[in-house]
Amino acid sequence: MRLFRTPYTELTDEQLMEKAARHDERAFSTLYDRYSDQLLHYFWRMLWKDREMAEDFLQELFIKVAHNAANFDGKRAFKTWLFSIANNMCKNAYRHAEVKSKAKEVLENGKEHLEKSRSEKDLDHATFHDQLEKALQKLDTDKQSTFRLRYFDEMSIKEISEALECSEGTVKSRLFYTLKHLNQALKGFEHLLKE
Amino acid sequence: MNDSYTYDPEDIESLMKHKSFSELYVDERAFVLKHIEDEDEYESMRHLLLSMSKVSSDDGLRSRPATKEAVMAAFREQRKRTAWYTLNGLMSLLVIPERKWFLQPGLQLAALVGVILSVAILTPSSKESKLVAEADTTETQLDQRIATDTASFRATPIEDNSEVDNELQANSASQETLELIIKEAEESDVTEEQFLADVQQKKIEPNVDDLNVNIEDTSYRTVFNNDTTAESEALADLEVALAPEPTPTFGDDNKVQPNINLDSSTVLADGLIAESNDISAESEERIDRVDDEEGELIQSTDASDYFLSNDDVAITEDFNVNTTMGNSSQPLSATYTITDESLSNLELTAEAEEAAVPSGRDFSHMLKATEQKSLLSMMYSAY
Repeated sequence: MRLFRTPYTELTDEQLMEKAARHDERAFSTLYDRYSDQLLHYFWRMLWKDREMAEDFLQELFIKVAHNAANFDGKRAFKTWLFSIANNMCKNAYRHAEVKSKAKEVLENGKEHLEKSRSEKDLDHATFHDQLEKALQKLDTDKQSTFRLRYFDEMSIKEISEALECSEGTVKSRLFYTLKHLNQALKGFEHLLKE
Repeated sequence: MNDSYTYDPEDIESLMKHKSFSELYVDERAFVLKHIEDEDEYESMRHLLLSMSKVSSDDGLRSRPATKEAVMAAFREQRKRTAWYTLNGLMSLLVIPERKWFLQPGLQLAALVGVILSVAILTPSSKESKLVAEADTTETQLDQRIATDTASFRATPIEDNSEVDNELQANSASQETLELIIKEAEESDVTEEQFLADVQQKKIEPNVDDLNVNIEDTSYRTVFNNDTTAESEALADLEVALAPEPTPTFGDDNKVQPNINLDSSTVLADGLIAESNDISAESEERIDRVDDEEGELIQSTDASDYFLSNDDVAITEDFNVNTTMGNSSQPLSATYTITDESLSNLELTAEAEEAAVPSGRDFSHMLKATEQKSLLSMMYSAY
Protein backbone atom coordinates (compact mmCIF):
# COMPACT_ATOMS: atom_id res chain seq x y z
CA MET A 1 0.00 0.00 0.00
CA ARG A 2 1.35 3.39 -0.97
CA LEU A 3 1.39 5.92 1.80
CA PHE A 4 1.57 8.91 -0.47
CA ARG A 5 -0.01 9.61 -3.79
CA THR A 6 2.12 10.50 -6.78
CA PRO A 7 2.08 14.27 -7.26
CA TYR A 8 -0.16 15.33 -10.11
CA THR A 9 2.75 17.10 -11.80
CA GLU A 10 4.51 13.73 -12.15
CA LEU A 11 1.55 12.02 -13.77
CA THR A 12 1.43 11.60 -17.51
CA ASP A 13 -0.99 13.54 -19.65
CA GLU A 14 -3.08 10.44 -20.16
CA GLN A 15 -3.28 9.67 -16.43
CA LEU A 16 -4.34 13.23 -15.71
CA MET A 17 -6.92 13.09 -18.45
CA GLU A 18 -8.29 9.87 -17.01
CA LYS A 19 -8.75 11.60 -13.67
CA ALA A 20 -10.26 14.66 -15.32
CA ALA A 21 -12.75 12.39 -17.04
CA ARG A 22 -13.82 11.35 -13.52
CA HIS A 23 -14.36 15.04 -12.70
CA ASP A 24 -11.02 15.50 -10.96
CA GLU A 25 -10.68 19.27 -11.03
CA ARG A 26 -7.09 19.21 -9.87
CA ALA A 27 -6.06 16.94 -12.73
CA PHE A 28 -7.75 19.18 -15.23
CA SER A 29 -6.06 22.21 -13.72
CA THR A 30 -2.67 20.49 -14.01
CA LEU A 31 -3.28 19.78 -17.70
CA TYR A 32 -4.21 23.36 -18.27
CA ASP A 33 -1.03 24.60 -16.62
CA ARG A 34 1.05 22.16 -18.65
CA TYR A 35 -0.22 23.20 -22.09
CA SER A 36 -1.86 26.60 -21.83
CA ASP A 37 1.21 28.69 -22.71
CA GLN A 38 2.26 26.44 -25.58
CA LEU A 39 -1.21 26.50 -27.03
CA LEU A 40 -1.48 30.22 -26.53
CA HIS A 41 1.66 30.61 -28.64
CA TYR A 42 0.25 28.29 -31.23
CA PHE A 43 -3.01 30.18 -31.47
CA TRP A 44 -1.23 33.50 -31.39
CA ARG A 45 0.95 32.56 -34.34
CA MET A 46 -1.77 30.81 -36.23
CA LEU A 47 -4.31 33.59 -35.69
CA TRP A 48 -2.35 36.50 -36.98
CA LYS A 49 -0.68 37.17 -33.64
CA ASP A 50 -3.92 38.34 -32.20
CA ARG A 51 -3.49 37.97 -28.44
CA GLU A 52 -7.14 38.36 -27.53
CA MET A 53 -8.17 35.93 -30.16
CA ALA A 54 -5.52 33.48 -29.01
CA GLU A 55 -6.79 33.74 -25.41
CA ASP A 56 -10.35 33.13 -26.57
CA PHE A 57 -9.30 30.15 -28.62
CA LEU A 58 -7.29 28.79 -25.70
CA GLN A 59 -10.32 29.06 -23.41
CA GLU A 60 -12.58 27.53 -26.01
CA LEU A 61 -10.15 24.70 -26.55
CA PHE A 62 -10.02 23.71 -22.88
CA ILE A 63 -13.78 23.95 -22.53
CA LYS A 64 -14.03 21.48 -25.42
CA VAL A 65 -11.58 19.25 -23.59
CA ALA A 66 -13.70 19.43 -20.43
CA HIS A 67 -16.84 18.53 -22.36
CA ASN A 68 -15.22 15.66 -24.22
CA ALA A 69 -13.04 14.31 -21.45
CA ALA A 70 -15.14 11.18 -21.21
CA ASN A 71 -14.69 10.57 -24.95
CA PHE A 72 -10.92 10.76 -24.82
CA ASP A 73 -9.24 7.67 -26.23
CA GLY A 74 -6.63 6.61 -23.71
CA LYS A 75 -4.60 4.89 -26.41
CA ARG A 76 -3.97 8.19 -28.08
CA ALA A 77 -1.43 10.76 -26.91
CA PHE A 78 -3.15 13.65 -25.17
CA LYS A 79 -0.81 16.23 -26.63
CA THR A 80 -1.52 15.29 -30.23
CA TRP A 81 -5.24 15.12 -29.46
CA LEU A 82 -5.03 18.60 -27.99
CA PHE A 83 -3.18 20.04 -30.97
CA SER A 84 -5.47 18.35 -33.46
CA ILE A 85 -8.40 20.16 -31.80
CA ALA A 86 -6.42 23.39 -31.90
CA ASN A 87 -5.60 22.85 -35.57
CA ASN A 88 -9.23 22.23 -36.44
CA MET A 89 -10.21 25.36 -34.55
CA CYS A 90 -7.71 27.33 -36.56
CA LYS A 91 -9.02 25.89 -39.82
CA ASN A 92 -12.50 27.00 -38.88
CA ALA A 93 -11.16 30.41 -38.03
CA TYR A 94 -9.51 30.65 -41.42
CA ARG A 95 -12.71 29.68 -43.19
CA HIS A 96 -14.69 32.33 -41.36
CA ALA A 97 -12.07 34.91 -42.09
CA GLU A 98 -11.68 34.01 -45.76
CA VAL A 99 -13.40 37.11 -47.05
CA LYS A 100 -11.57 39.28 -44.57
CA SER A 101 -8.39 37.57 -45.55
CA LYS A 102 -8.76 38.57 -49.16
CA ALA A 103 -9.40 42.13 -48.21
CA LYS A 104 -6.56 41.92 -45.78
CA GLU A 105 -4.30 40.48 -48.47
CA VAL A 106 -4.79 43.58 -50.57
CA LEU A 107 -3.94 45.71 -47.58
CA GLU A 108 -0.97 43.52 -46.68
CA ASN A 109 0.34 43.72 -50.25
CA GLY A 110 0.37 47.46 -50.04
CA LYS A 111 1.84 47.29 -46.61
CA GLU A 112 4.35 44.69 -47.74
CA HIS A 113 5.43 47.02 -50.43
CA LEU A 114 6.02 49.73 -47.85
CA GLU A 115 7.83 47.29 -45.57
CA LYS A 116 9.92 46.11 -48.46
CA SER A 117 11.03 49.59 -49.15
CA ARG A 118 11.74 50.06 -45.53
CA SER A 119 13.62 46.72 -45.21
CA GLU A 120 15.95 47.81 -47.84
CA LYS A 121 17.02 50.52 -45.44
CA ASP A 122 17.03 48.91 -42.01
CA LEU A 123 16.34 45.23 -41.83
CA ASP A 124 16.11 43.85 -38.36
CA HIS A 125 14.90 40.71 -36.69
CA ALA A 126 11.50 42.13 -35.92
CA THR A 127 10.89 42.77 -39.52
CA PHE A 128 12.06 39.30 -40.36
CA HIS A 129 9.60 37.79 -37.85
CA ASP A 130 6.75 39.81 -39.25
CA GLN A 131 7.63 38.70 -42.75
CA LEU A 132 7.91 35.12 -41.67
CA GLU A 133 4.43 35.22 -40.13
CA LYS A 134 3.00 36.77 -43.18
CA ALA A 135 4.65 34.18 -45.39
CA LEU A 136 3.35 31.37 -43.20
CA GLN A 137 -0.17 32.71 -43.18
CA LYS A 138 -0.17 32.67 -46.92
CA LEU A 139 0.27 28.92 -46.81
CA ASP A 140 -2.61 26.52 -46.38
CA THR A 141 -3.56 25.54 -42.85
CA ASP A 142 -2.05 22.06 -42.95
CA LYS A 143 1.39 23.22 -44.12
CA GLN A 144 1.32 26.14 -41.74
CA SER A 145 0.33 23.97 -38.76
CA THR A 146 2.89 21.36 -39.66
CA PHE A 147 5.64 23.93 -39.89
CA ARG A 148 4.65 25.64 -36.63
CA LEU A 149 4.30 22.41 -34.71
CA ARG A 150 7.63 21.22 -36.01
CA TYR A 151 9.81 24.31 -35.57
CA PHE A 152 7.99 26.47 -33.07
CA ASP A 153 6.51 23.83 -30.77
CA GLU A 154 9.29 21.34 -31.40
CA MET A 155 7.03 18.34 -31.90
CA SER A 156 8.34 15.18 -33.52
CA ILE A 157 7.28 13.99 -36.95
CA LYS A 158 5.27 11.21 -35.32
CA GLU A 159 3.45 13.55 -32.95
CA ILE A 160 2.62 15.90 -35.77
CA SER A 161 1.31 13.07 -37.88
CA GLU A 162 -0.97 12.01 -35.02
CA ALA A 163 -2.08 15.53 -34.26
CA LEU A 164 -2.87 16.32 -37.84
CA GLU A 165 -4.10 12.79 -38.53
CA CYS A 166 -1.82 12.20 -41.51
CA SER A 167 1.16 10.00 -42.37
CA GLU A 168 4.69 10.80 -41.33
CA GLY A 169 5.71 10.99 -44.99
CA THR A 170 3.12 13.69 -45.57
CA VAL A 171 4.48 15.64 -42.61
CA LYS A 172 8.04 15.41 -44.00
CA SER A 173 6.93 16.49 -47.42
CA ARG A 174 4.96 19.42 -46.02
CA LEU A 175 7.92 20.55 -43.97
CA PHE A 176 10.32 20.46 -46.89
CA TYR A 177 8.12 22.34 -49.28
CA THR A 178 7.10 24.88 -46.63
CA LEU A 179 10.75 25.57 -45.91
CA LYS A 180 11.46 25.91 -49.60
CA HIS A 181 8.54 28.29 -49.99
CA LEU A 182 9.61 30.43 -47.02
CA ASN A 183 13.12 30.54 -48.39
CA GLN A 184 11.74 32.05 -51.55
CA ALA A 185 9.46 34.46 -49.68
CA LEU A 186 12.18 35.67 -47.31
CA LYS A 187 14.88 36.03 -49.92
CA GLY A 188 15.60 39.60 -48.91
CA PHE A 189 16.66 38.53 -45.40
CA GLU A 190 19.50 36.26 -46.47
CA HIS A 191 22.15 38.50 -45.15
CA LEU A 192 20.37 38.76 -41.81
CA LEU A 193 20.02 35.00 -41.51
CA LYS A 194 23.69 34.44 -42.30
CA GLU A 195 24.78 36.61 -39.35
CA MET B 1 20.36 -5.89 -53.70
CA ASN B 2 20.24 -2.23 -54.23
CA ASP B 3 23.04 -0.64 -52.22
CA SER B 4 22.14 2.92 -53.10
CA TYR B 5 20.85 4.83 -50.06
CA THR B 6 17.66 6.78 -50.61
CA TYR B 7 16.83 10.00 -48.71
CA ASP B 8 13.56 11.80 -48.20
CA PRO B 9 12.95 15.50 -47.50
CA GLU B 10 13.22 15.05 -43.76
CA ASP B 11 16.66 13.70 -44.26
CA ILE B 12 17.45 16.93 -46.11
CA GLU B 13 16.28 18.75 -42.99
CA SER B 14 18.60 16.60 -40.93
CA LEU B 15 21.46 17.20 -43.30
CA MET B 16 20.80 20.94 -43.25
CA LYS B 17 20.83 21.03 -39.45
CA HIS B 18 24.15 19.27 -39.16
CA LYS B 19 26.13 19.78 -42.34
CA SER B 20 26.90 22.56 -44.75
CA PHE B 21 26.82 21.78 -48.43
CA SER B 22 30.59 21.43 -48.55
CA GLU B 23 30.46 18.87 -45.74
CA LEU B 24 28.07 16.56 -47.56
CA TYR B 25 29.28 13.26 -48.92
CA VAL B 26 28.96 12.56 -52.59
CA ASP B 27 25.85 10.46 -52.31
CA GLU B 28 24.29 12.98 -49.85
CA ARG B 29 25.06 15.80 -52.21
CA ALA B 30 23.53 13.86 -55.08
CA PHE B 31 20.37 13.31 -53.05
CA VAL B 32 20.14 16.98 -52.02
CA LEU B 33 20.54 18.18 -55.57
CA LYS B 34 17.54 16.10 -56.61
CA HIS B 35 15.29 18.40 -54.54
CA ILE B 36 17.27 21.64 -54.41
CA GLU B 37 18.55 23.58 -57.35
CA ASP B 38 22.04 24.38 -56.18
CA GLU B 39 24.42 24.98 -53.32
CA ASP B 40 23.15 28.53 -52.70
CA GLU B 41 19.59 27.42 -52.16
CA TYR B 42 20.78 24.71 -49.81
CA GLU B 43 22.73 27.23 -47.73
CA SER B 44 19.85 29.74 -47.75
CA MET B 45 17.36 27.13 -46.58
CA ARG B 46 19.84 25.95 -43.97
CA HIS B 47 20.13 29.43 -42.49
CA LEU B 48 16.37 29.84 -42.41
CA LEU B 49 15.94 26.53 -40.69
CA LEU B 50 18.49 27.35 -38.02
CA SER B 51 16.85 30.71 -37.35
CA MET B 52 13.50 29.07 -36.53
CA SER B 53 14.63 28.11 -33.01
CA LYS B 54 15.33 31.78 -32.27
CA VAL B 55 11.90 32.74 -33.56
CA SER B 56 10.08 30.18 -31.39
CA SER B 57 11.74 31.24 -28.15
CA ASP B 58 11.30 34.97 -28.18
CA ASP B 59 7.52 35.28 -27.91
CA GLY B 60 7.26 35.50 -24.10
CA LEU B 61 3.49 34.94 -24.06
CA ARG B 62 1.72 33.71 -20.92
CA SER B 63 -1.93 32.85 -20.62
CA ARG B 64 -4.02 35.10 -18.39
CA PRO B 65 -5.34 33.90 -15.04
CA ALA B 66 -8.83 35.00 -16.05
CA THR B 67 -8.75 32.51 -18.89
CA LYS B 68 -7.93 29.70 -16.49
CA GLU B 69 -10.71 30.74 -14.11
CA ALA B 70 -13.20 30.71 -16.94
CA VAL B 71 -12.00 27.28 -18.03
CA MET B 72 -12.21 25.83 -14.52
CA ALA B 73 -15.69 27.28 -14.03
CA ALA B 74 -16.75 25.61 -17.25
CA PHE B 75 -15.24 22.34 -16.00
CA ARG B 76 -17.25 22.52 -12.74
CA GLU B 77 -20.41 23.35 -14.63
CA GLN B 78 -19.81 20.44 -16.91
CA ARG B 79 -19.45 18.13 -13.91
CA LYS B 80 -22.82 19.24 -12.51
CA ARG B 81 -24.42 18.93 -15.91
CA THR B 82 -23.14 15.41 -16.30
CA ALA B 83 -24.73 14.37 -13.01
CA TRP B 84 -28.03 15.96 -14.06
CA TYR B 85 -27.89 14.29 -17.44
CA THR B 86 -27.41 10.95 -15.73
CA LEU B 87 -30.49 11.57 -13.60
CA ASN B 88 -32.45 12.78 -16.60
CA GLY B 89 -31.43 9.72 -18.53
CA LEU B 90 -32.80 7.52 -15.76
CA MET B 91 -36.04 9.48 -15.62
CA SER B 92 -36.46 9.28 -19.37
CA LEU B 93 -36.19 5.51 -19.07
CA LEU B 94 -38.79 5.32 -16.31
CA VAL B 95 -41.34 7.78 -17.68
CA ILE B 96 -42.29 7.80 -21.36
CA PRO B 97 -44.88 10.51 -22.09
CA GLU B 98 -46.19 8.78 -25.20
CA ARG B 99 -47.34 5.71 -23.28
CA LYS B 100 -50.43 5.25 -21.13
CA TRP B 101 -50.01 5.36 -17.39
CA PHE B 102 -50.24 1.61 -16.93
CA LEU B 103 -47.59 1.07 -19.59
CA GLN B 104 -45.07 3.33 -17.95
CA PRO B 105 -41.82 1.45 -17.23
CA GLY B 106 -41.50 3.20 -13.88
CA LEU B 107 -44.89 1.96 -12.72
CA GLN B 108 -44.20 -1.53 -13.97
CA LEU B 109 -40.85 -1.55 -12.25
CA ALA B 110 -42.43 -0.34 -8.99
CA ALA B 111 -45.07 -3.07 -9.23
CA LEU B 112 -42.37 -5.67 -9.80
CA VAL B 113 -40.42 -4.43 -6.82
CA GLY B 114 -43.60 -4.54 -4.71
CA VAL B 115 -44.29 -8.13 -5.70
CA ILE B 116 -40.73 -9.15 -4.93
CA LEU B 117 -40.84 -7.42 -1.54
CA SER B 118 -44.19 -9.04 -0.70
CA VAL B 119 -42.87 -12.47 -1.56
CA ALA B 120 -39.72 -11.81 0.41
CA ILE B 121 -41.68 -10.68 3.46
CA LEU B 122 -44.34 -13.39 3.37
CA THR B 123 -42.01 -16.24 2.56
CA PRO B 124 -40.10 -17.44 5.61
CA SER B 125 -36.46 -16.96 5.23
CA SER B 126 -34.14 -19.88 4.84
CA LYS B 127 -33.00 -19.35 8.39
CA GLU B 128 -36.54 -19.62 9.72
CA SER B 129 -37.18 -22.68 7.56
CA LYS B 130 -34.08 -24.26 8.97
CA LEU B 131 -35.24 -23.57 12.52
CA VAL B 132 -38.67 -25.04 11.79
CA ALA B 133 -37.07 -28.11 10.25
CA GLU B 134 -34.81 -28.48 13.26
CA ALA B 135 -37.81 -28.16 15.58
CA ASP B 136 -39.70 -30.84 13.62
CA THR B 137 -36.70 -33.12 13.73
CA THR B 138 -36.32 -32.59 17.45
CA GLU B 139 -40.00 -33.31 18.00
CA THR B 140 -39.76 -36.50 15.97
CA GLN B 141 -36.68 -37.56 17.86
CA LEU B 142 -38.43 -36.88 21.15
CA ASP B 143 -41.43 -38.93 20.05
CA GLN B 144 -39.17 -41.80 19.07
CA ARG B 145 -37.30 -41.52 22.32
CA ILE B 146 -40.52 -41.50 24.32
CA ALA B 147 -41.72 -44.56 22.45
CA THR B 148 -38.42 -46.33 23.06
CA ASP B 149 -38.41 -45.37 26.72
CA THR B 150 -41.98 -46.54 27.13
CA ALA B 151 -41.17 -49.89 25.59
CA SER B 152 -38.11 -50.30 27.75
CA PHE B 153 -40.10 -49.16 30.79
CA ARG B 154 -42.65 -51.89 30.20
CA ALA B 155 -39.98 -54.46 29.89
CA THR B 156 -38.21 -53.32 33.02
CA PRO B 157 -40.19 -55.42 35.56
CA ILE B 158 -39.10 -58.59 33.81
CA GLU B 159 -35.50 -57.47 33.79
CA ASP B 160 -35.82 -56.29 37.37
CA ASN B 161 -37.24 -59.63 38.39
CA SER B 162 -34.37 -61.43 36.89
CA GLU B 163 -32.01 -59.09 38.61
CA VAL B 164 -33.87 -59.65 41.86
CA ASP B 165 -33.64 -63.35 41.36
CA ASN B 166 -29.97 -63.14 40.67
CA GLU B 167 -29.40 -61.04 43.72
CA LEU B 168 -31.44 -63.34 45.83
CA GLN B 169 -29.53 -66.26 44.51
CA ALA B 170 -26.30 -64.53 45.33
CA ASN B 171 -27.28 -63.45 48.81
CA SER B 172 -29.11 -66.50 49.95
CA ALA B 173 -28.22 -70.09 50.34
CA SER B 174 -28.56 -72.52 47.54
CA GLN B 175 -32.15 -73.23 46.63
CA GLU B 176 -31.23 -76.71 45.73
CA THR B 177 -29.86 -77.29 49.21
CA LEU B 178 -33.02 -75.90 50.72
CA GLU B 179 -35.20 -78.07 48.55
CA LEU B 180 -33.12 -81.04 49.56
CA ILE B 181 -33.66 -80.30 53.23
CA ILE B 182 -37.38 -79.83 52.72
CA LYS B 183 -37.55 -83.10 50.87
CA GLU B 184 -35.66 -84.89 53.60
CA ALA B 185 -37.92 -83.35 56.20
CA GLU B 186 -41.00 -84.48 54.41
CA GLU B 187 -39.69 -87.98 54.00
CA SER B 188 -38.66 -88.30 57.60
CA ASP B 189 -41.82 -86.73 59.01
CA VAL B 190 -39.80 -84.12 60.75
CA THR B 191 -41.67 -81.66 62.90
CA GLU B 192 -41.74 -78.01 62.23
CA GLU B 193 -39.56 -77.31 65.21
CA GLN B 194 -37.00 -79.77 64.00
CA PHE B 195 -37.13 -78.35 60.55
CA LEU B 196 -36.51 -74.84 61.77
CA ALA B 197 -33.71 -75.99 63.96
CA ASP B 198 -32.24 -77.82 61.02
CA VAL B 199 -32.49 -74.77 58.91
CA GLN B 200 -30.85 -72.66 61.59
CA GLN B 201 -28.14 -75.19 62.04
CA LYS B 202 -27.33 -75.30 58.40
CA LYS B 203 -27.73 -71.56 58.18
CA ILE B 204 -29.85 -71.72 55.14
CA GLU B 205 -31.77 -68.70 54.23
CA PRO B 206 -35.14 -69.36 52.67
CA ASN B 207 -35.76 -68.08 49.24
CA VAL B 208 -37.86 -65.04 49.52
CA ASP B 209 -39.24 -65.64 46.06
CA ASP B 210 -41.26 -68.40 47.61
CA LEU B 211 -42.75 -65.99 50.08
CA ASN B 212 -44.81 -64.01 47.67
CA VAL B 213 -47.31 -62.02 49.57
CA ASN B 214 -50.14 -60.05 48.28
CA ILE B 215 -49.33 -56.67 49.63
CA GLU B 216 -52.06 -54.78 47.95
CA ASP B 217 -52.98 -53.74 51.41
CA THR B 218 -50.31 -51.21 52.14
CA SER B 219 -51.70 -50.08 55.44
CA TYR B 220 -48.56 -51.32 57.13
CA ARG B 221 -46.83 -48.33 55.73
CA THR B 222 -48.47 -46.11 58.32
CA VAL B 223 -47.98 -48.32 61.34
CA PHE B 224 -45.01 -46.31 62.56
CA ASN B 225 -45.93 -43.05 61.07
CA ASN B 226 -45.74 -39.98 63.24
CA ASP B 227 -48.66 -38.52 61.43
CA THR B 228 -51.52 -39.53 63.72
CA THR B 229 -54.10 -38.83 61.11
CA ALA B 230 -52.40 -40.98 58.60
CA GLU B 231 -51.85 -43.54 61.32
CA SER B 232 -55.49 -43.70 62.25
CA GLU B 233 -56.43 -44.05 58.65
CA ALA B 234 -53.91 -46.76 58.25
CA LEU B 235 -55.28 -48.58 61.25
CA ALA B 236 -58.76 -48.39 59.86
CA ASP B 237 -57.50 -49.77 56.59
CA LEU B 238 -55.70 -52.50 58.42
CA GLU B 239 -58.82 -53.51 60.30
CA VAL B 240 -60.69 -53.73 57.06
CA ALA B 241 -57.86 -55.66 55.56
CA LEU B 242 -57.72 -58.08 58.46
CA ALA B 243 -61.44 -58.65 58.58
CA PRO B 244 -61.42 -61.42 55.96
CA GLU B 245 -58.26 -62.71 57.51
CA PRO B 246 -56.10 -62.35 54.43
CA THR B 247 -53.81 -65.23 54.02
CA PRO B 248 -50.46 -64.81 52.47
CA THR B 249 -49.86 -66.99 49.54
CA PHE B 250 -46.59 -68.63 48.98
CA GLY B 251 -44.86 -69.96 45.99
CA ASP B 252 -47.13 -68.34 43.50
CA ASP B 253 -44.86 -66.90 40.89
CA ASN B 254 -47.71 -65.45 38.99
CA LYS B 255 -48.52 -63.08 41.79
CA VAL B 256 -47.43 -59.56 41.55
CA GLN B 257 -44.10 -59.24 43.18
CA PRO B 258 -44.18 -57.11 46.31
CA ASN B 259 -42.09 -54.06 46.51
CA ILE B 260 -39.46 -55.70 48.59
CA ASN B 261 -36.42 -53.89 49.72
CA LEU B 262 -34.11 -56.84 49.80
CA ASP B 263 -31.36 -54.98 51.52
CA SER B 264 -33.49 -54.36 54.50
CA SER B 265 -36.14 -57.03 54.43
CA THR B 266 -35.45 -60.65 54.88
CA VAL B 267 -36.94 -63.27 57.06
CA LEU B 268 -34.20 -65.11 58.78
CA ALA B 269 -33.97 -68.16 60.85
CA ASP B 270 -33.03 -67.83 64.47
CA GLY B 271 -29.67 -66.22 64.91
CA LEU B 272 -29.26 -65.50 61.31
CA ILE B 273 -29.17 -61.96 60.19
CA ALA B 274 -28.42 -61.08 56.66
CA GLU B 275 -25.02 -59.57 56.33
CA SER B 276 -26.32 -56.86 54.15
CA ASN B 277 -28.82 -55.86 56.76
CA ASP B 278 -27.07 -56.56 59.97
CA ILE B 279 -28.56 -53.81 62.02
CA SER B 280 -29.43 -55.88 65.04
CA ALA B 281 -25.95 -55.68 66.46
CA GLU B 282 -25.77 -52.02 65.82
CA SER B 283 -29.21 -51.38 67.14
CA GLU B 284 -28.44 -53.17 70.40
CA GLU B 285 -26.33 -50.23 71.35
CA ARG B 286 -28.98 -47.83 70.32
CA ILE B 287 -31.88 -49.44 72.13
CA ASP B 288 -33.39 -46.93 74.40
CA ARG B 289 -36.28 -47.70 76.68
CA VAL B 290 -38.21 -45.28 78.80
CA ASP B 291 -40.50 -46.52 81.59
CA ASP B 292 -42.76 -44.66 83.92
CA GLU B 293 -42.63 -44.84 87.70
CA GLU B 294 -44.66 -48.03 87.78
CA GLY B 295 -42.40 -49.68 85.29
CA GLU B 296 -44.83 -49.45 82.43
CA LEU B 297 -43.34 -48.99 79.04
CA ILE B 298 -43.64 -45.50 77.71
CA GLN B 299 -41.31 -45.49 74.81
CA SER B 300 -38.75 -47.77 73.41
CA THR B 301 -36.72 -48.02 70.30
CA ASP B 302 -36.95 -51.76 70.59
CA ALA B 303 -40.15 -52.95 69.04
CA SER B 304 -39.86 -56.23 70.88
CA ASP B 305 -40.51 -54.36 74.07
CA TYR B 306 -43.90 -53.64 72.76
CA PHE B 307 -44.42 -57.08 71.38
CA LEU B 308 -43.42 -59.12 74.41
CA SER B 309 -45.16 -57.02 76.99
CA ASN B 310 -48.50 -57.55 75.40
CA ASP B 311 -50.26 -60.80 74.51
CA ASP B 312 -51.63 -59.12 71.47
CA VAL B 313 -48.28 -58.43 70.19
CA ALA B 314 -47.92 -60.04 66.90
CA ILE B 315 -46.79 -59.34 63.50
CA THR B 316 -48.66 -57.85 60.71
CA GLU B 317 -49.54 -60.15 57.95
CA ASP B 318 -46.99 -58.51 55.73
CA PHE B 319 -44.06 -58.13 58.07
CA ASN B 320 -42.65 -61.41 57.15
CA VAL B 321 -41.55 -60.29 53.77
CA ASN B 322 -41.49 -56.60 53.94
CA THR B 323 -40.12 -54.85 56.87
CA THR B 324 -39.75 -51.48 55.32
CA MET B 325 -42.31 -49.92 57.48
CA GLY B 326 -43.45 -46.39 57.75
CA ASN B 327 -43.78 -44.24 54.75
CA SER B 328 -41.32 -42.82 52.37
CA SER B 329 -40.60 -39.84 54.59
CA GLN B 330 -40.01 -42.00 57.65
CA PRO B 331 -38.76 -45.35 56.55
CA LEU B 332 -38.36 -47.98 59.16
CA SER B 333 -36.18 -50.96 58.65
CA ALA B 334 -36.66 -53.87 60.90
CA THR B 335 -35.25 -57.32 61.12
CA TYR B 336 -37.29 -60.05 62.55
CA THR B 337 -35.52 -62.96 64.07
CA ILE B 338 -36.93 -66.25 64.98
CA THR B 339 -35.23 -67.06 68.26
CA ASP B 340 -37.39 -69.60 69.95
CA GLU B 341 -36.80 -73.28 69.68
CA SER B 342 -40.40 -73.98 69.06
CA LEU B 343 -43.24 -72.13 67.52
CA SER B 344 -45.09 -72.07 70.81
CA ASN B 345 -42.30 -70.00 72.31
CA LEU B 346 -41.83 -67.99 69.29
CA GLU B 347 -40.24 -64.72 70.09
CA LEU B 348 -40.29 -61.88 67.74
CA THR B 349 -38.03 -58.95 67.98
CA ALA B 350 -38.17 -55.92 65.93
CA GLU B 351 -35.33 -53.61 65.96
CA ALA B 352 -35.99 -50.43 64.29
CA GLU B 353 -34.04 -47.51 63.21
CA GLU B 354 -33.76 -45.22 66.14
CA ALA B 355 -34.72 -42.16 64.28
CA ALA B 356 -37.76 -43.75 62.82
CA VAL B 357 -39.26 -45.29 65.94
CA PRO B 358 -42.21 -43.25 67.17
CA SER B 359 -43.19 -42.97 70.76
CA GLY B 360 -46.38 -44.20 72.44
CA ARG B 361 -47.34 -46.60 69.75
CA ASP B 362 -50.45 -48.64 69.98
CA PHE B 363 -49.88 -52.16 68.76
CA SER B 364 -53.33 -53.38 69.60
CA HIS B 365 -54.07 -53.75 66.00
CA MET B 366 -51.47 -56.36 65.57
CA LEU B 367 -52.17 -60.02 65.33
CA LYS B 368 -52.35 -62.28 68.28
CA ALA B 369 -49.77 -64.88 69.03
CA THR B 370 -52.01 -67.62 67.76
CA GLU B 371 -52.35 -65.88 64.45
CA GLN B 372 -48.68 -65.39 64.47
CA LYS B 373 -48.21 -69.08 64.95
CA SER B 374 -50.50 -69.93 62.12
CA LEU B 375 -48.68 -67.57 59.88
CA LEU B 376 -45.34 -69.06 60.66
CA SER B 377 -46.80 -72.50 60.21
CA MET B 378 -47.76 -71.53 56.75
CA MET B 379 -44.22 -70.38 56.21
CA TYR B 380 -43.01 -73.67 57.40
CA SER B 381 -45.25 -75.51 55.01
CA ALA B 382 -43.89 -73.40 52.25
CA TYR B 383 -40.41 -74.42 53.25
